[in-house]
Amino acid sequence: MSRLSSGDAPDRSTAPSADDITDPTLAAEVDEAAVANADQPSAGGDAPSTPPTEELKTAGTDEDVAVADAGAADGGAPPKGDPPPTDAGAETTSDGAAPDATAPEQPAAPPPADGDAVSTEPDPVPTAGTDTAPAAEPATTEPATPEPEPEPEPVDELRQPLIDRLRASLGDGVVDSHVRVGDDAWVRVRPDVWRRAAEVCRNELGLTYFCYLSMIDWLPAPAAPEAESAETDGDAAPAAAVKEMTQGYAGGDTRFQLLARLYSPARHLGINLKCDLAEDDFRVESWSAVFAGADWHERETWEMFGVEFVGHPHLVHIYLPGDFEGHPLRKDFPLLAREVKPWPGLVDVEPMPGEPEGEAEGDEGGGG
Amino acid sequence: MAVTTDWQKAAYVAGQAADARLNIELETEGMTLNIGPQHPATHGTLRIVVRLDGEQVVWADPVPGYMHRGYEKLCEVRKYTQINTLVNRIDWLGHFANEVPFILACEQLMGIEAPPRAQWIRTILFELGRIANIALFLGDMGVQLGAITPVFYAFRDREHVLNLLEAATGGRFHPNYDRVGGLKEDLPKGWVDECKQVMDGIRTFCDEMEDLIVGNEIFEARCRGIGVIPPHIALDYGLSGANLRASGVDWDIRRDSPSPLAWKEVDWKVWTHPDGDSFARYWVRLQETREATKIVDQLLDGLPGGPVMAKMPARLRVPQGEAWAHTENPLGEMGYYVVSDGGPSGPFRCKIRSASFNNISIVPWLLRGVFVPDVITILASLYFILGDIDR
Repeated sequence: MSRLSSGDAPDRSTAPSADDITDPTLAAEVDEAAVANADQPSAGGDAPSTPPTEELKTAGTDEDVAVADAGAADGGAPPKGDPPPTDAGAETTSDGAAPDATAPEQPAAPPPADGDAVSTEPDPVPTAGTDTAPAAEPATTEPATPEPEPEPEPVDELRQPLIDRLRASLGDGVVDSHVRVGDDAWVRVRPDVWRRAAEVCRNELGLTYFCYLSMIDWLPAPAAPEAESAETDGDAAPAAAVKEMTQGYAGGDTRFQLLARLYSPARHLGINLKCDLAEDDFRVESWSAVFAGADWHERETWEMFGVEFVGHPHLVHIYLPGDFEGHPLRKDFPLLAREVKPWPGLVDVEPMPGEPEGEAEGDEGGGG
Repeated sequence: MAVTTDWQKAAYVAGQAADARLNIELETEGMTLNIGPQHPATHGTLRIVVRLDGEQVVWADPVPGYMHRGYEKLCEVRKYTQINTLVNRIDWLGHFANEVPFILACEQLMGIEAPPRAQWIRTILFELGRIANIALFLGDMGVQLGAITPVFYAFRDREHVLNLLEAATGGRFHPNYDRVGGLKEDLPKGWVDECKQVMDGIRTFCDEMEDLIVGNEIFEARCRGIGVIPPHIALDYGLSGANLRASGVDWDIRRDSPSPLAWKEVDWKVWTHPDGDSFARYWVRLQETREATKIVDQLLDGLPGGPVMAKMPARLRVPQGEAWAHTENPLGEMGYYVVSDGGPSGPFRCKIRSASFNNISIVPWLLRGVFVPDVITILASLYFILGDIDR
């Protein structure tokens, strides 16, 4: 069940010992990772601590490492008092998909106002990828405590067992997962076990509350509107607008990804389920036999994205008129208002007296 | 001497057959009735197509979407500050409560924490939104059952809450007061005392409602045992808020989910009711309104000083990531799943989980076999806002 290994100790041949590392920043991290990997009970491979070894084996590139650390800088959750999440390390999932592929261009988001000292480490990003050999770099950043004592990697006692049991039931139907310790959990499953995952969650894991079901279209936005708004902002980084598709937590391989959330009111924890759907086989089993509330959510998702839910009793339009063509929430479905009046929409402003006409930006289709 | 000839018999039979065929064409055996989209009982433009057999419903099919404004698509082309204005309009009666989960999700993404005073004021305004919303419900359910007087009291007394909101934020219905990192500005002078007085008034109002409505035998006869929702069905459909608590499920996001807002700093109680019928839903909301006034009083007493806005970078950079934030809104659980691609403008995807969408999805199951007057009772007790269903 553990993806780390089948009971073998993690491969330490490429991992450093604390003696090898001379950089003081990294030494602390290595210590903690070493402790964690030694003590870590075999988890589903997605607890924040496990990626180091995984990445050493599978990825081991500068980019992945830098990505992981950059991910650390932006993943901090606000509540100061809580154990700061170490989702950062786990964001680069063990299959090497790097959700923060743009991170190198966007080095550690400027340290947010508060919570800095607690949850982000501004330092590691530049040093990490450059100083040491990639293999030596543990990708996790500790819950950034300035104390020198090594802390064991936090494991989410509540959510991790859920994921483990899900893996046990679904086997390799679970493609990936991600836990933000103390906060939330994401699991990505294969389409053929999508419905079975719902059954397991509901019947075995106690996640009986159906929150919602929807979809994400990961197609990146076209460049032009980004550039315009960048001008408006005076923002110096229009390149931050992603051009290649990158998925979020728990990774993803396809453009469309189902997203659902289930919750347990008794245990007060929930799980986000994701599922990649290929466009040429754009359907999946319906959840409506498992959760009755999925009925309407699936209708809406079909209507907005076009995915067919096999076995749904009545897959018809819910919001839009019955004869509506197209699937509006797809990224390639244009927003009609933007067609008529491109952004920014300052086109109706009358020029000041004395100013020549035609200064209004983006004035297409006549001044009205 | 009246002998019926064959010809007369044949004519008689033919006449019967013609009548039968006409009956089938006219569908006199059952009636399909449109409740809405314009109907005083549907809180907006909800259309419910019901098929009646006499006075009983055979099947019911709600048709939402008359107010679909495409929020999720709009969110993809708006900046975060603009979306804040938009989401006020989802549950327009629970004004401030719409903004909060979205702002919390953004703050999660950006790693920003608002100062304590801002969190406490947010909580106060959130509860005021609950009071304003549910106070209207308390009167409105009466009027939908035919008790006309309480709704006037409801509008009169919630007017004070709206005045408070206007004094603080400038808007009676759409405050647009929350900002990433805190609030737009601090409360005006004297607001705290005024608010305490208004809370006293709301408590008096709740007592009045209890006298007028809850003990009324007509109300009891029309609501007890009507529209019973068993708890496991409620969870399957994703019912939330008072609808769920009235079926006995003890879950309140304010108490049970971690949140930077100040609910855990004060003492209050979660009300549940075991019956799961329309009466229970009314009763739970009544108690919750009273409880909300107590929460506000305690928050006002303990309101910390300090700034209401965190030190923010001059330019808001939203790093790549995903965040889910949900709160116990007046109508139920409202949540935002915000996906950011690190771009300079708004979110990449913003999934809005609105409570009434799930609350109304149970209507086809719930209305089977129900009498027509009880249809109205059930819809009134489920309490939805069209903006919340249709987004």
